[in-house]
Amino acid sequence: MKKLSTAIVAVSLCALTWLTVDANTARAEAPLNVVASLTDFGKIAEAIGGDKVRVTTIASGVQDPHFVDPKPSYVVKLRDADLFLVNGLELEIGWVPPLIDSARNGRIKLGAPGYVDCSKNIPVIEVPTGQVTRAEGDVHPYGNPHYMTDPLNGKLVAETIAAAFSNARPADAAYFDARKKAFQRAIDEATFGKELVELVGGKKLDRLARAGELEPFLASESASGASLATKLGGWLGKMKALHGAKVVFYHKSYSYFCERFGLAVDGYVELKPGIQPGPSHLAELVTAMRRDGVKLVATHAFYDEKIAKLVADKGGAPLVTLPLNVGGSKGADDYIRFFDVVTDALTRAVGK
Amino acid sequence: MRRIRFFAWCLGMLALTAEGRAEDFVPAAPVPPPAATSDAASPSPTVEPVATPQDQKALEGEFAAALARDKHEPEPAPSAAPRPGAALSLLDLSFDLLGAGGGSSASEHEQQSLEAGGHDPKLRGFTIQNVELTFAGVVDPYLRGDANIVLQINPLGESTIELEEAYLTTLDLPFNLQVKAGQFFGAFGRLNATHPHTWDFVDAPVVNSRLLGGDGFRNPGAQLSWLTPLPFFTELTASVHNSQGETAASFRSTPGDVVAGRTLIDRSVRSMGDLVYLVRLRTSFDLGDEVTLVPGLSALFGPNATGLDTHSEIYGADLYMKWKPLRNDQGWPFVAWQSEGIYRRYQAAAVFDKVGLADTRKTLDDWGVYSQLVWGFARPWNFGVRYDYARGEHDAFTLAGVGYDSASDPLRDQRHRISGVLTYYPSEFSKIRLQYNFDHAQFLSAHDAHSIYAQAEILFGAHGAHKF
Repeated sequence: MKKLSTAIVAVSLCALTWLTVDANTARAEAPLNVVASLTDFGKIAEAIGGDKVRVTTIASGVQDPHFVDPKPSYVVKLRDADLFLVNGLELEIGWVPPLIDSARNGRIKLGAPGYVDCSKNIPVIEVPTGQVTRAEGDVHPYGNPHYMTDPLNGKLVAETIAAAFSNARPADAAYFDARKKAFQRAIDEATFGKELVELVGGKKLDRLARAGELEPFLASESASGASLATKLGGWLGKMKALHGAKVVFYHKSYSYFCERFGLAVDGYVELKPGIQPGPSHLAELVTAMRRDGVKLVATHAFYDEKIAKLVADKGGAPLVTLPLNVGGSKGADDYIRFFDVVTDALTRAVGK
Repeated sequence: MRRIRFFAWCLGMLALTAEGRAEDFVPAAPVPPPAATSDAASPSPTVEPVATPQDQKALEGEFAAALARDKHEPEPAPSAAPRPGAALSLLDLSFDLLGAGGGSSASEHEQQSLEAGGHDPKLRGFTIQNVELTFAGVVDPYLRGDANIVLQINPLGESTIELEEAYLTTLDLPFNLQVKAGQFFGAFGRLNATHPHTWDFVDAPVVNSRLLGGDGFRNPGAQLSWLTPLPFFTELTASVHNSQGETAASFRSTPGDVVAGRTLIDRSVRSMGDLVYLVRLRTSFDLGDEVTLVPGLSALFGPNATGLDTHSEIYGADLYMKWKPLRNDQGWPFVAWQSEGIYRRYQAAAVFDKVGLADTRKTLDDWGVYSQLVWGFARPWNFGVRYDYARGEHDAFTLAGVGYDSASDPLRDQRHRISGVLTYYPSEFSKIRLQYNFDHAQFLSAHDAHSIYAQAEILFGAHGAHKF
């Protein structure tokens, strides 16, 4: 009996060593194993990493990123990961920490180089100040975590991801850098229009837009006889029609988008983050909508459609269902097409 | 006195943490933009001991050029925008209060046996089921620490404090291994290692409270778990624990307690064989994106104190299945089905009384199952049903010629229970619940009992992680 158990232990140890050694030798040549918590980071990782990385994504784009079950199958994905890309700012607080705890993978634990918090370089907005309690609902103490709804933030995330890739594979740093620059250029052209990027340069446009000085700059400058303001294309050009338009959102999920594209948020369908609205709040909201001439109500497919529809009908504004992440609605297949779909949906709704 | 001191300490801790939290929320002074470090960051050249005037000039020129370049080409540096400073996360503290109110058609005396779980409502009126202080934090790069301290008011009206759990967990062992050590719940089945405030019903399943004990199986010990390299989730867990005390009810338990007519003796640990050993295998499969299956097998082995050489073995099988659409509204809708079957072989030593041999040595086979279905039909409402069955061996033993008597030993009785529960969640951090139980058991004077309990929970403090 004793011999048998010794034999079993010996065989298991051999198998364990073989599997581990095998995994380690394979790691040097194989593509980087990248796991992303959300589709946005997964798609940007693919764009930058090309065939030098293999990307797996945990949550689907149609899911509410606050509420993802930490399924055991995700633990297996993280067990083998070289890099783990997360949104951060406590967006995934309910499910990423238990997954990391269970994965037993030192490469991606909190603080390890393989744990990549994509919010690292983001100028965060709506950071609560003073004393906040959960009487305000499920507040995010580090600020609004939905920064990916500003396309310019996608460029900063690309910077963070490329740096993490180069750190993990210094030999391929030039490859990652070139692909990152191409991705950032594509975002600039899609945001401002190709012509304007060629005339002014992406870096300068980015700086002006972030400082809120883009419009005065374009109005004051001209190229080949025409004011630069006429050259503004891309998503910003397309969204000019909605500049200053009053909108109502279900949740504070598009604050970065509204800031970038000049939409004025008039109110939210939910009472407080994560708290169901009651009739008095909805009545107040609808009254305010009528008074302020709200142009549209925007929601996400995972929220209660009935309430959003009722608010839109009573408030006399069209209801638009927007994706929150890449893959969140038809056609929003990558980070650039995500904004194509969103800007299409918004301009179409207001054009009616 | 000790209790009072403990409370004072807890309050002190709460106050400290509250202060720390308040500071976290205030963004620190804007961080100045990091200086353009492209040059400065490059590895510093070796220091030259003697600098000639020409060298000095050349250096000045280099610096001037570098500075000028910085002036003319300010990087679009959005990363330099004001950001809150890092918040040092030292200790996550949370407080959970779980209480119930209601009653049963069974007498209060019978209710004590009907609701045998340590957190179950045992009285007509109100029960403070579980007040839990949770401490959690990362110790250093290698370890994290967790502790749960439970306060209760027992049926006699006295406050009690229990060190429910206090353990370390390793963060960075090789080979996908993880060690847990301290006082913690054994990883037996699905329900045993969970806390009452995460349960879907007001009370514990009958079979759990009988075979693993009213408070579940937990004792000081050490656990090693291995996440296997298989392509689907497979985890092997083994642990060793002390075998005495009320939290090891099927093992050495408490001397003086009576199990199947045997008074438990004060049996000491003579060898490694007198500790409790636990093994568990847990796997998981996804059936598409929306259905997850988690089957598990568990076993516990250890000594019991009916004699000096008697042992107990407990075997369990469990299955959890959850459906939740990808497009869900804060977790709703969902359907979760959870079932456990537990079987115990309990060696009971021969028992003697004044007359002589009252019963010979027997192996008692006790078992039970529960199966529950919880349906989150609309946010934020859940509806659940549960069926419980448990029976203890009583045909095989007689004491001094007298057969099994369900009234004097209700925990060996054959029992059926059907429960229905409706839960409302005002937020992620609170719930209100109403449950109805129908019980059928021989030991009840009326054989049937109807019970109704309302339950409420509040949780404040750190955001707890969701378990799957």
